[in-house]
Amino acid sequence: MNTEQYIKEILKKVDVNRKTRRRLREDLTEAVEARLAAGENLKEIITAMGEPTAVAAEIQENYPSRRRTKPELGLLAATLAAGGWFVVSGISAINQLLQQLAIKMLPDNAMVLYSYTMRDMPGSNYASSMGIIGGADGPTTIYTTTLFMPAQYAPLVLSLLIAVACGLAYWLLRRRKQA
Amino acid sequence: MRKGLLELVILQLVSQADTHGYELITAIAERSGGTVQLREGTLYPILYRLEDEGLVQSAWAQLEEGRAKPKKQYSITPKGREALESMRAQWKSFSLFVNNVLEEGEL
Repeated sequence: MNTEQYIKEILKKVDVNRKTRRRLREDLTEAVEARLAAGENLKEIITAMGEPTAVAAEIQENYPSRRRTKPELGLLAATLAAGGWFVVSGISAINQLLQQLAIKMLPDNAMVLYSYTMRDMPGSNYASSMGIIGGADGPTTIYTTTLFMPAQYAPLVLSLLIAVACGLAYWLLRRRKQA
Repeated sequence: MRKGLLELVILQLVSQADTHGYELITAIAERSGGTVQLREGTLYPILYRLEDEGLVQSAWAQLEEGRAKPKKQYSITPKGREALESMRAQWKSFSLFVNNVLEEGEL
């Protein structure tokens, strides 16, 4: 075991917040270095300071365990689930919106294309099929844009609200445990 | 009780000179004639508590010659000096009382 491994072992066994962990890393490193500078070898140092488990236990006596409780785990799961759902359905909603915008632009283009092909290639199947596309898409566009209104965003908004509420509650619960 | 007293002892030692962790451990071992072997796992949480209460502060000392890394030094704050004064007064009167009770018992 070297100095780094020794300190890593200690830190692995303590359950403290990030600030305390950082301070411990700094101070324990310095403590080992000071002892090395005073002429002790690492084996002697570990005997004096204690095995990693013992050091960790001494430290932990001063801090309540921060292990997540069941309600906290529940809130965390709810946050992740609602947040994940929000992201996935949000992406698909944006996708849908973009598609509709594209469709909305299509009829005009299709009409241009339609008249163009009609003029240049009278009687061609290609031209008449374009006409069908343009004709069929017009009403569809109107139909979907009227459908894609606030009511359709409700689940999206709701999932965001749930995610934010659960996340906030979780954060507040955890913050009380900062030690 | 031991932790509270250690807090007082550490605050007193820090007030006498800016120190780092290892110096505190050796100072306590020396002054107690080796009967109080404070270990790092106990010392640092006490220092952090004092620091969080604003009674001591830590700073990285200037690089000394022959040392690869700077040392983290703890020093007392004005608030710490005030707290130390009242803790000392409390301890003096309390230890007097405890000693009186114990001496009465011996008679």
